[in-house]
Amino acid sequence: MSLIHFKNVSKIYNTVVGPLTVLDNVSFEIGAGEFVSLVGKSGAGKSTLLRSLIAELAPSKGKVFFDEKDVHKMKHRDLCLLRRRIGMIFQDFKLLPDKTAFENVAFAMEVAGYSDKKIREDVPEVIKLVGLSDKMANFPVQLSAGEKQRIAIARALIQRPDIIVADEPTGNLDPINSWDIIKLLVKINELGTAVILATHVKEIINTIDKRVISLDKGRIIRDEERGKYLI
Amino acid sequence: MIQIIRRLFRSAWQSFIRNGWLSIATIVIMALSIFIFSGVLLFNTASRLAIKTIEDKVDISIYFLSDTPEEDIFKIQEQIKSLTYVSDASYVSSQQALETFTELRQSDPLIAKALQEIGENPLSASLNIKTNKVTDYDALATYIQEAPFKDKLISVDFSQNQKVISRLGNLTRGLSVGSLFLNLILALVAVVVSFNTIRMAIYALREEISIMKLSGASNWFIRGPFVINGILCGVIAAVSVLIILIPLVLWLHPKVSAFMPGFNLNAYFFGHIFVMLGWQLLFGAVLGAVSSVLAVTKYLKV
Repeated sequence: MSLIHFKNVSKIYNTVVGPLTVLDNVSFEIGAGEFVSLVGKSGAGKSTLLRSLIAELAPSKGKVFFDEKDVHKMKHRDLCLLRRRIGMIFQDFKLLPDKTAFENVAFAMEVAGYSDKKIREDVPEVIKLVGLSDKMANFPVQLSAGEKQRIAIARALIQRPDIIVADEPTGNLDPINSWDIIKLLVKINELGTAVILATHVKEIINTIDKRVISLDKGRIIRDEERGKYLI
Repeated sequence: MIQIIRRLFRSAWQSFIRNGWLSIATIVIMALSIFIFSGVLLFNTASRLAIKTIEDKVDISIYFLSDTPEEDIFKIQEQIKSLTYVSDASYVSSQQALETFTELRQSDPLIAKALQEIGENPLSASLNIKTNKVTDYDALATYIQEAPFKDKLISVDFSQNQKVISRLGNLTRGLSVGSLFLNLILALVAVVVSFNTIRMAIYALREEISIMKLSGASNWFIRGPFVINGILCGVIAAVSVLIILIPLVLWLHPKVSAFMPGFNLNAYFFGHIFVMLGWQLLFGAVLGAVSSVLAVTKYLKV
């Protein structure tokens, strides 16, 4: 049984110069615990695909299933629950600027209704896992780019999601920090959480040696186990 | 539930403190709006009281022939009192009129001598009639002119007061319409300015709202702290305005008293201070809450 199923998904924008197809009849499945890299040049449709998964964007055609439920037909409450099962990591970190590192991670637990006691127990554990125990009281502005991304990963992990979706997580990082983040994602996957990594960094894909879905102009041109970056 | 409410309040308070300048800017604008709102309330009351003071001084007096029996005058008084637009019709006997006249002019020996020479009371009994509204005097005058007792009257002093009464009526109507229009405009300006300030403050935080949505927060979990924040800004603005108004009223009181002798601004303000605070708090809190709900809703469509 697949965790995620994209079925003939297309996304077309109507622009002043005519229709612009960003996703073109995309279909694939991802199982629980899998590590999948989504590769392609800028504008290939990677982010659109991921935004469709979290129902931030509705496809023009086709369906997106999470755990066999059509995410675009979900009620508001179910959508909130779905988003708590998907840990999102973004290129620009998307941390809440007026909350400390601890509060940013805790926020994900607060929205899910966990008790204060549970939050006080779990958040330091996860922050420790990403190696930032000494930065818990810092605000995002007081953290480096690599540290911000680690806190974003901690936030994504805290609810023990079924899948981590990382959209260009190394885009704003230097090579050393980039590798640290990728190693962290691989480690998370080895502990049983599925990961979708969207990136256009060739070295990363070729090194981690996992399943690769290649996108070009909104279409899947390759889907290989233990794939390489061949665009 | 208590846990959620506690978190909403904590989050609102954190945001209020940590976005200090944004909060202060919002409070200042809301305070200006509430100040306008309070000013409108005070102006309304002052103008209403001023008109009432002048209106209370207006009446119509009808003077009876000296041979009119007092019982007839009492009957006429009852007839007039039974008119729906009449608020009072007080009888002044010729003796009372003379006593009042003498008392008022006791310092003038010429008047006293003249009265002595006449030998009898030259003043007539009269009825002083007041209506509920100044605009009712026209109807009263018409009634008197067509009344069956008109041949028992020496004079009606309405014609002397007619112009003043007519102008006062026009002024009252004009002020009512004008102040209603002014109130609406100022209230609208205050609401629009405050709403836009809160909207701008929330616009600055729109990215945070989308992050909260993607973290799986429900709409009310996101909206809650913003609404509480808006109410908090409104309440602080309302209290600030009242604190500013106290010395302002104390300073204005002698000036207003000189301009409108019948209106005691101090007594009115301090007598109604809690009512005014209540209205200001209500205005600030509702404005803050409604503006926040409307502004946040726009960014919840993620």
